[in-house]
Amino acid sequence: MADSVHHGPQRSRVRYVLVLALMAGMMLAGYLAFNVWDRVRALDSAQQDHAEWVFSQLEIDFLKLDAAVEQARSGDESDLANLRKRFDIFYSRTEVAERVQQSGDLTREIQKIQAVLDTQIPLIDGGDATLISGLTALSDALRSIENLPRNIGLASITFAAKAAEAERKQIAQLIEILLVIVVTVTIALLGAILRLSRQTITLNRASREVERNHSQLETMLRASLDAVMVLSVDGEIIDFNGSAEDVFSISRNHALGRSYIELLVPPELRNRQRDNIAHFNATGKTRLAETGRHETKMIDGKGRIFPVELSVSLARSNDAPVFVTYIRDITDKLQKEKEIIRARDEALDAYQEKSRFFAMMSHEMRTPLNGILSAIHLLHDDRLDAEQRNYVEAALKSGDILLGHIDDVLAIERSEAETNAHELQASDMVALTSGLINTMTPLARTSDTRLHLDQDGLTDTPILTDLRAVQQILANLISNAIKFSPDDDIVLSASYDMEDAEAPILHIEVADNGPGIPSHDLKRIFEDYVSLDSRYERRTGGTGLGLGIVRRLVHRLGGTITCVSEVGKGARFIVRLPAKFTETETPLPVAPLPLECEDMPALTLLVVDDNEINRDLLKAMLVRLGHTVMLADSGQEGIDRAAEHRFDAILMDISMPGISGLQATQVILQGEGPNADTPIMAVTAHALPNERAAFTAGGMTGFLQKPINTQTLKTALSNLVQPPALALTTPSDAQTPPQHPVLNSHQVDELFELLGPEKLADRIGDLRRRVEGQLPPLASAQDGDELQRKTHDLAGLCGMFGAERLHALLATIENDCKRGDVQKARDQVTKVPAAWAETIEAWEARLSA
Amino acid sequence: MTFHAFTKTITTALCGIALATAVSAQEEAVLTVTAGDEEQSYTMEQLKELPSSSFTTETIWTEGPQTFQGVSLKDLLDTLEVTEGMIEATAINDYAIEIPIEDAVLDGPIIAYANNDKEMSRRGKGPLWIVYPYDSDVKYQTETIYSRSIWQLNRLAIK
Repeated sequence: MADSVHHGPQRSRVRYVLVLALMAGMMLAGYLAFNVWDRVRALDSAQQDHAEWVFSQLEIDFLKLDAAVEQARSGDESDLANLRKRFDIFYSRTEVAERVQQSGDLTREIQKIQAVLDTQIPLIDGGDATLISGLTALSDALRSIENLPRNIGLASITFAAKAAEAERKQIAQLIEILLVIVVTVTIALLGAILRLSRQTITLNRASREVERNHSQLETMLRASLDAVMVLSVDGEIIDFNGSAEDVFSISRNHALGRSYIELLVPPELRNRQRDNIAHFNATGKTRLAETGRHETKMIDGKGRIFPVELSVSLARSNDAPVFVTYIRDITDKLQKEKEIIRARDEALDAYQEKSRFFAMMSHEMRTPLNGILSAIHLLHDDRLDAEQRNYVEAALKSGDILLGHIDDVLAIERSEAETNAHELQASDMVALTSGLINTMTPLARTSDTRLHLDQDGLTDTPILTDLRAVQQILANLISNAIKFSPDDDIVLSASYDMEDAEAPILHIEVADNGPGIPSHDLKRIFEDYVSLDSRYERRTGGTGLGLGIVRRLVHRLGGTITCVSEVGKGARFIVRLPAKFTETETPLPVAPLPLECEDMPALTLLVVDDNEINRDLLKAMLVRLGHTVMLADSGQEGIDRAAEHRFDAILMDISMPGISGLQATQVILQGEGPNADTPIMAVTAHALPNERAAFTAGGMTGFLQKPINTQTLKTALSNLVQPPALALTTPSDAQTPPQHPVLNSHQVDELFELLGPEKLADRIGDLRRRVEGQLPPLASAQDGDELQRKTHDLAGLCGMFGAERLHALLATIENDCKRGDVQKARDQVTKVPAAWAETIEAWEARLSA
Repeated sequence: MTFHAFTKTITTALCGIALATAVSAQEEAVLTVTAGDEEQSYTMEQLKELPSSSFTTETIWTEGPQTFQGVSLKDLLDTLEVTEGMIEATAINDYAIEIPIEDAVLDGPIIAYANNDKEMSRRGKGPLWIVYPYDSDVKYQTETIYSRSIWQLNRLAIK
């Protein structure tokens, strides 16, 4: 087969030439045959008389004339008449001979005879006497030509022989040519026959092959596990294999020739099938065939309707196309699929049940742990000796670790829950990132890590997101960075990526200068329970769930997280979240900022809690802080107490049997009692954002999350009685790039807390000298690199002292240098002295306040 | 055969006698026809009294188209009421040829006594010449037909 394909064109050319040659040969043979036939026909119609006869007769008639002349000498009348007759005969004979002759030589001879005869006519036609007297002359005249008739006869014989020979030769030659051609044509024909017979053999072989293939195919179809049927374009069943017989419980003989629509398609689907066939016959385009697998329903001989998977192919043969249809009964398959899905659903349910159980247990564990930790906090005071203090600290540390674990489990549970639409809230990312840095700073301080914030790319237009999730993501990333880069710098940068204006992105990076992560570990760090440095984890008590939680939360928010790192060069975690800008007012950050307020007045407080331990602990803490405390063990009692006494603030547990904290709050605030204006703070172990919204809507002021320690309690109370310091941050115009506050008030507050006013004044004095020494070299920097280095040093100094606006300016200069835009950087440098003056002025104002 | 040979001999002898006895050229018999035991002689006048036929044709012995007039062989045989047999035609020089009676058909051979409206001399293949309408049919262009075109005819014997 491949051979014939390969040699096809050449072969057909040879065949072409052969046919042409054969035709030419046959035409030539035909022409020659016609020629010969023509000649044969010519033989049939002779164009002249027998020349030999005429010429031989010429001599005979001459001799007879001669004899007659001699006889006439007797003078007898009849002899004379005979002479005349003989003369006439001879004369007419010469005339005939002249017509018959074929050669110029003979003409001359004959004309000579005629000339002699003509001279004798007067003699012959004269009277007898004249004739008798002229006999001698006549005889002499005849003597003069006596050899001619014989010569003519002989010559004519030679001539005729030659002519006949030439004719024969010519015919023989023609016949020879004809023979050659006939032989050639015969050979060619034989060749053609040979070739044809060989082709016939090949063809026979091929057809046997096809037959074998066909029978193999038939066997395969018969043996196929799928039902196979062949349909005509009108839907008539042409073939039906053994499996089809089994699947449909219909015998092949019964199926053949019937319409598959009537036989195998359930009544409600028949019209659609008829449509398909009509469509194919009208357009030649298939709807079902050649389009892969389809699931449909069919009906068997017993009337059972069952699901099938079928695939149809169109075999376009020359005479009539047919559809080859494979059908598989998928009743069992679907059954199994259903079972698998059910098993999966059950497993999922079980998993969720377990997950709920863990969440519940964790939550339940938190409350007693809260009690333990609060009790230990109360123990932890100056009355302990050194050994006791160590035990208490160990217990506190272990308690904190345990609390962290429980928080992780709760975070996992939260991250797996679907984000509810009402959990999305308008969130100000500038406030969030600033607040987060502040919250994390104490932790950073424990490992001498410095946190930096770059929020240049943010605007204060809020975005709609799950604030708590974003907070958790950043907190986990920053605390991770703090763990791994002790005594180093960590930069949190946040920006809006507006490249695609339709879908803005919140781009957050947390970069540290720690040991970095080996590339082979980069993939697994986001898996659960992975902690790369197990010794450290043991020391710090991490669960290895931190990044797993981050990954879950990022995915839940529809974002991506990646990590870029190189061993020895730190790590950079990049989170990209879809940002949807919104106009809704930004609520305050959830976590109240820890504020130091030493000189808080003693307050009269009411604590409402159904849990006796919590109630007593809270009272102990508040008493230690110097406040007067009254207790209530239920919502109703709380309402009653509030009706009797006026309090500076009420701490209200939310979940209580009977009247809940929220209901009690509403009664108190809406009542005519002495506490209608008293701030009431929610105290709860665990509250969702929408719950908190409900607290606010119910008139509650602020919210305390358990476990509660003295520090948070103090902060919360100070927030209650005086407005939060966050108000220092002046909101900037949305149209202009975010204007940074001159000083970061939280950082300033912390510095006050840390150092106290005197020490801080000393430090600021130091800072002033060092910065003012560095300003001139900044302006005179030789190149971009030098400028960048000096800017970096200066920024480090200022950042430590909360000089936010100056720090941002210096960061811009540093960035411009990095980008190579030195001119722009130098332009910015001119603004530095003014920014510094602003900063130091603000510090002095704070210090003297 | 013996009988034929004998008859032929007789005929020849009679002819010879007839010729010998003929004196006037006009009254001289130009054709003797023998049929069985009957013998009939025709003078030129008598022949011309018989139904006459004529046609124009070329011949291999002459130059150009020739018009021949004479008695068609068929008419002659009809006159003699002969329907079968073989005609033996003999010339003055005793050239003899056999003509099958089937040749004697309408528009077939004639015993010509005039060529181009002139009587033919003995010297010019006359006085009688059996001519076929050679041009009318290729079957009249064979050597057999040429051999039957006997000139200087003077005897016919039907056998």
